[in-house]
Amino acid sequence: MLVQNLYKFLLLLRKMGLKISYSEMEDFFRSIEYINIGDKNELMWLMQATVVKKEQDILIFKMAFKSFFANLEEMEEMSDRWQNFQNIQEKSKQKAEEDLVYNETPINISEEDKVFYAKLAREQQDKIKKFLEESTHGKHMNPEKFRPVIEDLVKSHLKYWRKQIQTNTMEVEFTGDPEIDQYLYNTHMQLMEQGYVPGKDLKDLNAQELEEAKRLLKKLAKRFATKISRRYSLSRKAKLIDIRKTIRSNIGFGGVPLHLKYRKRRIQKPSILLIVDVSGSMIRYSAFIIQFLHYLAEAVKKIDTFIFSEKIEKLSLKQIKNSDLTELEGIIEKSPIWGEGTDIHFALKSIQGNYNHLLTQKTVVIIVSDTKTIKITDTTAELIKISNRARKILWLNPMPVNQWENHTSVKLFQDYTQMFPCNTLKHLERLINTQII
Amino acid sequence: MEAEGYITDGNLVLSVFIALKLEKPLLVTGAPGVGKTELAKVLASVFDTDLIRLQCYEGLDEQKALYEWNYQKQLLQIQISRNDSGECTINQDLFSKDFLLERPLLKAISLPRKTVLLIDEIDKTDEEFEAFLFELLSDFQVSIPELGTIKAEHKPIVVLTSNAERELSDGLKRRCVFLHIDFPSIDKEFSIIKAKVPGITDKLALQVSSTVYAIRTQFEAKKLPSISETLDWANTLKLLNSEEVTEDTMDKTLNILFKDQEDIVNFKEKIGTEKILHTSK
Repeated sequence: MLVQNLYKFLLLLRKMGLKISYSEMEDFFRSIEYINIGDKNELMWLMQATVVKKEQDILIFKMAFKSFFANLEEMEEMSDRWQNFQNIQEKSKQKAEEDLVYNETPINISEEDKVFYAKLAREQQDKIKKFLEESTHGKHMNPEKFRPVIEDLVKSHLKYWRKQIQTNTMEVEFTGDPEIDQYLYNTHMQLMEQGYVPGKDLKDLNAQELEEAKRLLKKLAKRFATKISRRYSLSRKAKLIDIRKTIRSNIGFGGVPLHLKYRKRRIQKPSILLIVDVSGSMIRYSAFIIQFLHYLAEAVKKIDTFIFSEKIEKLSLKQIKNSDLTELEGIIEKSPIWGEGTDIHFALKSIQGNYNHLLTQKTVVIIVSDTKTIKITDTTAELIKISNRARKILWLNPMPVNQWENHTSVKLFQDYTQMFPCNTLKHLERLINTQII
Repeated sequence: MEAEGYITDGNLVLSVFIALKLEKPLLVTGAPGVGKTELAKVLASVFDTDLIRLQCYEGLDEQKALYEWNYQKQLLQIQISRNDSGECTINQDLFSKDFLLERPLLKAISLPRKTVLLIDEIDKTDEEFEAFLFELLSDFQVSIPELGTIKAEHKPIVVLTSNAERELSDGLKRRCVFLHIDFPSIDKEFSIIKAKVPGITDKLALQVSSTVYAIRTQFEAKKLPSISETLDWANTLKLLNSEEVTEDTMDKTLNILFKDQEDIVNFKEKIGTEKILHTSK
C-alpha cells in the first residue's frame, strides 16, 4: 500500500513535468530503508535527493509533496477546492447543454467547447442561443437535415470568440484519474498562489512578477548562450597536426617532433533572422523573445530583427541593446505598425524582396507569431521558399498549445517549420534544452 | 561534519548519507560561494583521506582528465633503442604503465584506498566530456584501449559541483544523488559566521547575517553576496574592530560584499546602506 502510494506520487511528479526515470525510482525505493519513513521531512529530503535533479523543479516538487502528503485538515480543504472546481465545470457543461438546443435536442459539441461557452459574456451567449432558436423555427425546412451544418456553425462561432478572448493562464493536463487529477489541480493552484512565474502566461504577469521574469530571462539566456558557444567550440577538438608549426617549434630538438602543434579550426556561428509579430495582443511575447534572443548576441554571428503587422519595420541592434523589457515594449508601441492586423505573407515576401542577402544556408529564421494571419495559403508558399534557402525555420508560437488543433494555419505552417510553444518562461527553458540553433 | 566547521542541515546530511550508502556520485548545485567545493574538502577531512580535484573548464578532454601517453618519453625510448645501423630494437612495450601519465580521474580509482574525487564546475565542460564520464561514474572503471579496463578497488566518494551555467545531461543527472545548496537562513548563516570567524561577537555576527539576508532578498544584483563574501565581510569588520555594522563602515566595505562595480553603484542608488540596515533590524 505504501509503495503503491509512493509510486502514485512519483507519477504525479512526472505529470508535473519532472523527468523521473526508472533508475531514479529505483534509487528512491532502494534508499527508503535508510530513513525513518514516518518522518515527513526525511521522506521529502530523500525524494528531493533521488528524484529531483534540477533547481527549477524543487518548488514544483515541494508543492506537490505538500498536496500529496497533506494532513487531514489540509486534505479536506483541498478536497473542497477540487470539488468546487469540478462543480463549476459540471455546471458549465449543464448550462451549455440546456442553452445550446436545436430542434429540442442538445447539439453535439466537445466538453471543452461547453465549458468555454459558459465562460462567455451574457450577450455573446444570447447571440448563439438566438441563432439556434431562429434556425429551428425556419420555414420550409427539415431541421434534422441541417443539424450538422448548424453544429459546425456554432463550433465556428465559439472558435471565433476563443480567438478574440485570450483564456487559460494555467494549462493543466488532467489524466482522467480523479485522485491524481485532484493533486494536479491543487499543486497547480498552490504554485500560482506562490507566484510561480515560469509556468505563468507572460501576458498575465503583474509588475512584481515581471521583475522576477526579467531576472529569470537573463539567467535562461545566459545558459542558452553557453550552450550554443560550447557546441560550436567542439569543432576545435578534432585535432589535426599542423606540420609546418610542429617542425618549426622542434628545430631545437634536431627535428624530432617532441612538441606537437595542432591546427585550429574556424568556428562558424549561426546568423539569426528574427521576424516578430507585433499585432494586437502579441506585444508582451514579442518583447520577451526579442530581448531573450538579443542576450545571445555574443554567441551568434549576428541577429537581424524585423517587426511586422500589416507592414514591416527593421529594428536596429542599438535600439534593442540599450533597452530593457519595458522600454522595448515602449519602442514597439511607438512604431506606426504596432496593433494593426496580421499579414505574415507580406512580411515574408518583403524580406525576400528587400533583404534577400540575409537568407543564406547559415541563417536560422525565427518567426514569433500566433499564426493568426490573413492569406494562409500564400504565407505557406512563402515559407516553402524560405525553408529552401535558410538553414531552418523555427516558429515560436505564444498561442496555448491546447488551442493549436483548432487552427488550420498552425497545421499548415508546422509542415515547413519547427513550431514550439512560447507563452511561458518554462517554454523558453524547454526550448533551450532542445538543440534548436 | 560540523566538527570540521561545516554547518549542515537535515537535507544536506541526508543527501550525503544516501550518496554514500548507494555509492553514487553527489551532484551539488547552488550559487557560487555557498560551500559546494568546501563540502568535498570536508568529506575528505571527515574520512581522513586524499582529496583529488579535477577543475573543469571549456575544452577539457580525457587526456587532461583521465590519462595521457607520455609521448616524449616514448619518443626518447625509440631514439635510445636505435642501434648504430639505425635499426630500432625496442624491448619494452611503449604502451605499458611506465609510459602512462595518470590524470586525476585515473588516479582516484587507482589508489589503494578510498579517496574523495571532486569534479569541480562540471557545467563548464563540453557535453562530450560529460558523456565520457558516464562509465566512470556508474561503474567506477575506465577503459584504456591499449591496457584494457581498469576497475576501482576502492570506489571513490565522488562530488560533482555545478553553477548551472548550462543544463547538464539527463544521463549524468540520473547517475547522481542531487543536492541543491541555497543561500542560508539568518540562523544558519549566524552559526557559520560563529564557526568560521573566531572571536566575533554574537551581536556583530547576527547583524552581519541579517544584513546580508536583507540584501539577498531585496536587491537584484549581478552577483549576490554568498557565504564566502559574508565571511570575508565579517572578518573585515572584526579586523576594523567594529562592534556593530554602521552606515559608515558598511559604505566603506561594500567592495567586500559585491564583486562588481555596477552592483555597488546600483546598490547605493536603489537601496542604500541606511535602508538596508533599517530593514535588517
